[in-house]
Amino acid sequence: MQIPDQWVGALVVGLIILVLGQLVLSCRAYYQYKDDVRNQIDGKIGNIATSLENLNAKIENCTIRIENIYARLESFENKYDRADKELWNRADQIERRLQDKNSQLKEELLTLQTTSDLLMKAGLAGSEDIYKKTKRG
Amino acid sequence: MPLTPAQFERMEYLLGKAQHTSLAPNEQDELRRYVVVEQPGAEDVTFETVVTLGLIIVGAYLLYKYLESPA
Repeated sequence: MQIPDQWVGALVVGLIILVLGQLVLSCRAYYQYKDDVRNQIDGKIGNIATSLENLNAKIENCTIRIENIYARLESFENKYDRADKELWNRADQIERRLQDKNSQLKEELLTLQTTSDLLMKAGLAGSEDIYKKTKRG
Repeated sequence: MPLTPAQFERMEYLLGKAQHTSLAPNEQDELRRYVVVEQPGAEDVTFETVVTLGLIIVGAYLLYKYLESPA
């Protein structure tokens, strides 16, 4: 039995069409897969960008807080310096006052000592007189 | 209440005696009583301090009498 030439031609054409169809389908599937991958990557890039933005905002907040802390620290140091100076000034003032008072007290004590010595001498003379008189009497 | 003149003279006598001889315990107490009348803080001090205070009191009194006498 001999196969007609038309059949062979039709078969070859059919096979070619089939191969071409497969090729087209493969290409289509490849491009579709490529798009999916691209979309996924785009999504992930978008997420990373959002995360980076959040991170930047947080870093900015931290920077602002650190600046505030530095400002407060500086203010505290200034206050501390002022308080330290004031304290030493007051201590000096009190020391000077105490020295003045001490000198005054020493002078008063000397006066009192002199007065009491004089009074004691007078009292001694008076008491001796009375004692001797009474003893003689 | 201040000392009477007789008490004051007795105190002077005891002070004079204390310079020449030691006082008997009852005399020491008596002198202390007289001094405490003029100076209530002298109740718990030593006898030497009592004598010193007594002499100062007598001295002050004599000085006062001396200053008052011309007037």
